[in-house]
Amino acid sequence: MDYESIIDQQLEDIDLSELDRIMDEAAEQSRGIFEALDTEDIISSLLSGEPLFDADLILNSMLDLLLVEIRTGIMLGIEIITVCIIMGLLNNMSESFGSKAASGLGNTVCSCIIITLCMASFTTTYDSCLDTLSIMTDTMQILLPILIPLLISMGGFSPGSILNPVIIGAVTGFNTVLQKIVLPVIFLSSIFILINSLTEKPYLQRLAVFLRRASIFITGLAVTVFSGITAIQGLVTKSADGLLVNTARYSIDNFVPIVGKFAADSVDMVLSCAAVIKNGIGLAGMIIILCFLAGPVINLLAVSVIYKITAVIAEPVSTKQISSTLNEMGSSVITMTVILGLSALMFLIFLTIIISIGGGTLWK
Amino acid sequence: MEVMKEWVRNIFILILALTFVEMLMPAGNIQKYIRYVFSMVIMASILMPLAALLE
Repeated sequence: MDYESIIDQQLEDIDLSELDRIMDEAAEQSRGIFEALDTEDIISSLLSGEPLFDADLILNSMLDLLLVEIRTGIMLGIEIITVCIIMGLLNNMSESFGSKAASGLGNTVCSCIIITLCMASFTTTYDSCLDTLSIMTDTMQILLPILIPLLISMGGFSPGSILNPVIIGAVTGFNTVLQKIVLPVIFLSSIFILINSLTEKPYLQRLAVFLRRASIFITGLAVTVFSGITAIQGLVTKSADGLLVNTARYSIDNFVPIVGKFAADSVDMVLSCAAVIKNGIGLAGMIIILCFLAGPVINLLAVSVIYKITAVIAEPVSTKQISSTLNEMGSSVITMTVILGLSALMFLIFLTIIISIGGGTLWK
Repeated sequence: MEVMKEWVRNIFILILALTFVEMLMPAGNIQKYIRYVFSMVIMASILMPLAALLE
């Protein structure tokens, strides 16, 4: 019996339509950075040792996408700079007429306009960040019920039964922590940053920076705790299962007369084929998560670049508060990018743990 | 989260209002003291959640 026919047989028994549907959706989301791959394609290229992607092509299309995003977002920068120039003009004219109150009023009104512009764009960015997070969580929740039975069918009884609740709990818990605590705190901190631009003296600078730092710290802590727990569970249960499968193999080999040796070898082969399929599905999951991540991260980077460049341009014409506010808004957006990246990293760690359990080393 | 939202909204409105009032104040010696009082008010509103926590 050929290993390809075993893999084909096993693939027929698994329902991968849901996974392929998400894959198509993800490839569409990434806007041409990644192309949709069938799980079967991935498995066949795993077996033949072909590369899955063309690295140059991906880098080029990412760069293109970044430039396109910057071009679409540049309107915000132009609007803000226009308001800043008007503000500088108003300042100089009213000072030459000698009325300080009028110039102060003009400044505040201009600051209010800039706050409105920033707030509108920031809300869209924030929403897309939330969306990406929940899509990645959904993907994990769809992948796990496919991966865990495969893990169990390969003889990973205890990792299968223990990891399933642990990983699902960790994914859901992490998602809740991010959506209910971390991202809202970043939102609040950017509101504080925006208020700062109204007043001559910074009232809330420290508070805003503190909130932002705290949110990064909470995310880092959550990633460490959740992935640490999962990794430890995986390691502990892995050795126990190796023992179990080896015992089964040994007893078939020695206690079944004459054909026992062949039977044990074919058990090995079937198990290895299941491992290949599981690794293929795990890889598909990783690619899906990267697809969902790539578009929004490039979008966020473009927005933060626009904020930073606008701050640089606005510095000579506007007041000190406005340019520092724009700079800090850029940092806020970068913080959101970092948090998205961290959460994707954690999901990738989970998938790697599942792939590494029984990746062929379990039975030797 | 609702408490947090209300807290931020209060601070935002307070600072906006005080900035406008500050501009409309007559220039004079008293302005410094009024500004001091305003900053005390803002500090009190920042500390608001702490008071709710202690209760």
